[in-house]
Amino acid sequence: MKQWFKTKFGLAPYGEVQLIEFSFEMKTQEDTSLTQYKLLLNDEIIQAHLEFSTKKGIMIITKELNPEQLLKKENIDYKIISKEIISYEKVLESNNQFVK
Amino acid sequence: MSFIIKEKKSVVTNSYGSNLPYITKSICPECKRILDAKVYAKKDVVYLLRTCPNHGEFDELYWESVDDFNKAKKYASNARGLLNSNVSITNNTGSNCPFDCGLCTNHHSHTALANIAITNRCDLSCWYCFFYAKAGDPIYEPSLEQIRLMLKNLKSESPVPCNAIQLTGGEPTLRDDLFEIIRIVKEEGFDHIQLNTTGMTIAFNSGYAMKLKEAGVSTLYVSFDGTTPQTNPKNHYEMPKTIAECRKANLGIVLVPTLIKGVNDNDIGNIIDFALQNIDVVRGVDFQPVSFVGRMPKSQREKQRITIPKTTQLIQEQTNNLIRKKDFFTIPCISPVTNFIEALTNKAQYSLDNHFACGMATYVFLNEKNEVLPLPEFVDVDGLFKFLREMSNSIEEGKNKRIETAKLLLKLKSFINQEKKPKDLNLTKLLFDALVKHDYSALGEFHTKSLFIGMMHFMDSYNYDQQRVERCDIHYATPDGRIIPFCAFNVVPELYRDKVQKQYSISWEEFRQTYVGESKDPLQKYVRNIKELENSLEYKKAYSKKKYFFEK
Repeated sequence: MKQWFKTKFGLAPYGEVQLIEFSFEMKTQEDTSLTQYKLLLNDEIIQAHLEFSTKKGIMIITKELNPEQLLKKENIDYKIISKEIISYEKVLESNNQFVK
Repeated sequence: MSFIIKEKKSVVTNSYGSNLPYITKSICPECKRILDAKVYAKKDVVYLLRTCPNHGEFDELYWESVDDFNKAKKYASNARGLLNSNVSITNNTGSNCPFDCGLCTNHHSHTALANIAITNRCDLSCWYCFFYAKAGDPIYEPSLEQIRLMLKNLKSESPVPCNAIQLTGGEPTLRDDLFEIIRIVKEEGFDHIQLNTTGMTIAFNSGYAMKLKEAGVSTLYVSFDGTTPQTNPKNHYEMPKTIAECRKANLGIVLVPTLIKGVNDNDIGNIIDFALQNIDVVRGVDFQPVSFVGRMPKSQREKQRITIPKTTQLIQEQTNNLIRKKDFFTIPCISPVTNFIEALTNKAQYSLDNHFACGMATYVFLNEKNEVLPLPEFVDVDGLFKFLREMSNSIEEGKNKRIETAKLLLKLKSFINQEKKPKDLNLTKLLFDALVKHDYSALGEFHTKSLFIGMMHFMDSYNYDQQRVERCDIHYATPDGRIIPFCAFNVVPELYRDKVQKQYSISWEEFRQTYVGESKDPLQKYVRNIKELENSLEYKKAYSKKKYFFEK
């Protein structure tokens, strides 16, 4: 049975997740976008955004995943800035407009 | 006072409404790399050209007519944008469009119609459909609580809250709690509820249509690909029963044909004829030129691709010139009306500011002699909209609203040919009430006396244009709180539709145990009895003759 977690946004498929901030080196906006696309193809990456203008990225990934392995797998020249365990509810809160 | 929230500076945005050729962004259909793309004219046809460093050149048909493209482009309008974008904890700025959705700060349009997929179960197994769960696949059915939150999210859009919901699937009528869902949509304050269905449940459950109507469903949005079993294998035999049930319930239907060149493009006139024969219950026909799923060789695409100008041309040909190409207007043509009401009220209004290349539409009436009469036959649409634009500008420049309104009243009649218009249609009053008194009750009457004929060309990865996605106003709400433009949701389903549904689905076994019990198969399929259906009175009447567009 799939495990569900109670949140104020209904039952959610994740309880806690990792919020990873990292810097990266990338030559073009197009490479950055494609890398983000490839990262998001992984089921374990829930949401991600790579910003070419600042060369900073943020990923929401499952708790069990090793972010370094993942970034290496995609051949990204990266440096982890911070790792934090947060509740998935916080991600839902940031997605939902009505709580802002 | 202008309600345009922000001036956008990107190349894609700035080229909107430019003359051909212009630069936009697209994606490589093979690897999804974002590419600069050129929209350009070759002879009389518009193409979208881009080159992927790894997969070469993609030169795809965009619109079949430069003239039609330029006519539609005249109505390119500035959309209102959103005050509360879906930026999220990841701070998605939209720089990686279309991989950054929810509605980001680069998105131009508020949600005009929101889709909420309430199940991926379906009682049909159409070979070309990718939306339904096959045996053993996980089942996606957001809970009532999640649906309510999606609705609240849509209602919170600022400055223009969403007001129209389409419940879709799969087949939404397979959910036992559908009526509870409709009740929640009403409770959350949505005026328009559309149900996207194959019509099977309605056809075979007497009184079901009435229950839907009473619950608050405004319209059924029903797939209807043609008038023969060959062009419409999905519900050819059942549609007459669906229509009969909706007639009893006075529940309006919009027929939705997906058009594929060489498959059903010879049946367009018949579909409109069929709709007109049932105009008491069929409110519209919304053609959807095919969008291709997955990889498809160019030769196959060229064989089957049809776009908006060809559709309007075929409508003209197959309706004996009664409904003409020139009767169709791009969807954002309506923006002068919105702008005028905004100027009068100082309040942001519901607007349809999607890309001019996304869709076109017209209205058709049957007059007292039962003749087919397109609205532009008796209304000077261009003149009316030009006049409204001038009036909005005058009011915004500070001219007296009362004087301008009086001018409108005096001038309005001049745009309507009183001799030609249907006698029982008081269009001058209806327009004045809507524009000045903001009384839209008469618009319902307008819809019951007319047939909407529209077309919406959803994109695929071959003809994908970021400029269109930025202005998309048909969205999906997902249980993770995001609101996603239709063509991002379906052009990159691996990041949106499939990903979210996987996250929020449960296994087939779990679904069966939790919701249905072992005795009932949650993926039970409809079994057609052609003989019985063919012998029904409704069927015999439905397709027996053409009434309006005789073949010459």
